[in-house]
Amino acid sequence: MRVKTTKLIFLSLLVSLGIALHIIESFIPFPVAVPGAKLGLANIITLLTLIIYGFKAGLTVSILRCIITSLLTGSPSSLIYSLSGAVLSLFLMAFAYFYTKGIFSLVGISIIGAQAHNLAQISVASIILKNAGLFLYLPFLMIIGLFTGYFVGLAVIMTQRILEKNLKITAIRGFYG
Amino acid sequence: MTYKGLTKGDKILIITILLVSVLSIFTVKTLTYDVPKKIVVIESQGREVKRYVLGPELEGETVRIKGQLGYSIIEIGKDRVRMLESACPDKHCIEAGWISRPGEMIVCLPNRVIIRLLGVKEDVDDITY
Repeated sequence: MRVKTTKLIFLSLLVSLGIALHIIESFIPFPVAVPGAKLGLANIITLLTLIIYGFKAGLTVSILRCIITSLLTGSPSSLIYSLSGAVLSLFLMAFAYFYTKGIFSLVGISIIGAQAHNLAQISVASIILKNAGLFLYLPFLMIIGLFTGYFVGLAVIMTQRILEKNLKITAIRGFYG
Repeated sequence: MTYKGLTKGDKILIITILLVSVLSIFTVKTLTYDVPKKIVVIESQGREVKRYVLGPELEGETVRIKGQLGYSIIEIGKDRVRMLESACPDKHCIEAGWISRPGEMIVCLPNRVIIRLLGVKEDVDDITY
């Protein structure tokens, strides 16, 4: 019971951190004028949740984060874009983390997440706008995602090290944790 | 877990992504060569609403298009086109600036307005991307 409550509190903290990062991110000017390009700081939280608490917790946290941020920023129409990106990237990152042990480091997994996010958003946008030409943006987004994914991965590695040193996280590791 | 640098899988992943994206950018660039006659297609909410053949007589014209959030104002230049004003919150479409090569496009996702440039070969009645 105690473990369950601790986990619940940590998960809610992670959700709120994700929301805060998402909002802070929108204040940082991004030098590249490609629609849909962003830093993806919130992916730090998603990946952390995934590696600490497992797949189900990661899915819960990222879906909650998407819903709450879209309500907070007042653009519910963007929910479908962020949700599709978050869910696809979480599935691929979970797959890469739990089923290809050792092939990718957390940097590689974070890059996979960034690329999946791009792919999902472009696909959803081209379905909604009924225009497959949007895929012309994908190569640019892929290059940007490479860099942002790399640094997000580094951030996750550093954060994880500190968390494991300072907190006794009673985590149940595993795909269904 | 201590970080031991990039694994082999990471490096292969990064190189693959770089190669794929750079190659596809080059393919797109070579496909969108400059042609003398260009057509502007304006789409709103998934439907084509306006279509112009670019020429000097249209220079300086502005077009008001109703999108999902409000009006988008599109300015047509001599051989180029841009989004002048838009009702969207992020204004990425305005930052995109002028487009002048066939195949290029300006997309305003929030307002669901798309400006596309198509090229027309002089002799053949055909549209190339």
